[in-house]
Amino acid sequence: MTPWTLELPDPDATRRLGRALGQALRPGLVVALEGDLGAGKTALAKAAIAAAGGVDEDDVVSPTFIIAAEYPGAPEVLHVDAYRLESPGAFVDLGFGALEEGPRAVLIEWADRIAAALPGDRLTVRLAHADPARRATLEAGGPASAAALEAVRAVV
Amino acid sequence: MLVLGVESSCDETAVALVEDGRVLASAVRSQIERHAPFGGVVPDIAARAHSEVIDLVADEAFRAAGRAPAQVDAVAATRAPGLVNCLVVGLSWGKGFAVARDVPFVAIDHLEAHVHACTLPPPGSDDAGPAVAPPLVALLASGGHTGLYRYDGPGQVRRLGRTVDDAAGEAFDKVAILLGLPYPGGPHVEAAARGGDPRAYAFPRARVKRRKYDVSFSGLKTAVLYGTRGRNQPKEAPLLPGTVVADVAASFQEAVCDLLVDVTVEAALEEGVPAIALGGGVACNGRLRALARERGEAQGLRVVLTPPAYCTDNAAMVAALAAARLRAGAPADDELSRFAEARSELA
Repeated sequence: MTPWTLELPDPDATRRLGRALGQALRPGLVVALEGDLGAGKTALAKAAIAAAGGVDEDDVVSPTFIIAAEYPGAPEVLHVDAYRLESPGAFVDLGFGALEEGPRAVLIEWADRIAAALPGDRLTVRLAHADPARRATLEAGGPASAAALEAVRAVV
Repeated sequence: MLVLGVESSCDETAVALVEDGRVLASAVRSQIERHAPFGGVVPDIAARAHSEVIDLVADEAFRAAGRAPAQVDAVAATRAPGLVNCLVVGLSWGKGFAVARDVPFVAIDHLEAHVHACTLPPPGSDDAGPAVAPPLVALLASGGHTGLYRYDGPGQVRRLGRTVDDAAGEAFDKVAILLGLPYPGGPHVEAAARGGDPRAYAFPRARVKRRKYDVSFSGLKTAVLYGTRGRNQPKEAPLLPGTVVADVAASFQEAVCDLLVDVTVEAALEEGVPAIALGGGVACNGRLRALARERGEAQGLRVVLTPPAYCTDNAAMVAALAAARLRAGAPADDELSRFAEARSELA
């Protein structure tokens, strides 16, 4: 699958992409968020989780401290921050295996740190600091994530 | 009544003994050096470390207090919020102790314990009376949480506001990374800020329009990134010529403290309470303490600065809150069945 790149000139553009992503979430879909400090991973996750329907955007806070937080919605969303995990095995040891089997959708910040514990069929969203502001690159790794990527492209 | 408290929600293993309002011992074993190479707490390393040292920390507390396990009248442990695999270590240890000794067990919310910590007399004092009596507005700022609470006594905590993204301590940790300073960010950024000009950079103080006392720190972190590297540059980019780290640190610290003190004082006046209190690890920050005192007192508020030993994670606050709840007659019957949770209703 060819990656799809789009420019995010301002925070609203990041939020629009997040909302589209939230509407494309399905049980078992794994979204890997990658990008440097301040690239907008949490902002994107907040908008996506709110758009999945269960919570207000302001109620989604950084999961850096508790590693994983669960939110109600359709589907329910697990929001993970892998920044502090020692290894992919540590993620599995915390009780997170076979994410693609659902019942939740999963958004993972710093997913590149635990890539080996994630299913191949995942939607990778890379955020980078760029001129004028941010650049997002989305790439699907299999049929479920490809369907989600199409759904996002259709509305952004 | 002798209450044993246990705390293991993050990277501190702590056991304390509180008797009739006095802290007899507050033993804390920190894992900071184990996590420093990673720039933050690594949950699996933390859980292993808790298991390794909890018996030793408990022995230390009993020795320092001059009490024996058979004298304990009740046991309390933190159950939420925190890292679940860390919480279960102290929680299970405390439950086991309570069952073996056939004494009541109390499950404690870590955030309520941090709020309650402002009532503790300073360590080492013979004072048994509370340092302050509710009602009050407490600011709780740490690496994992940042919230503003109205406190009317044990079991009566209401959240007034909080961060909508990063915790204040998380902002310190991330800015430390941007400035090339070591973990933990709080003390290192504070040290770097000494002698710096807090007005050198106009960093944002972000309040959330929709909810009165909500704040945001994620934009501040990005402002520091761009202020030191140039707009839309990654953190690997070189520092802009002429960047003075002390000025950046001082301006960042001022932005955090200014914002937190502002919402705290404003909430206290609005709530009509006579006092404000600061708690959580970020409340060890000297500038935050000074600014809270200055602005709080200017508004006629009593300003309670929780002793630093009870700002960072400790078990004295856990035991003291449990003792207060037991004094108030709160039932502790079913608390043995309460399990560890990552989140708290107060978060």
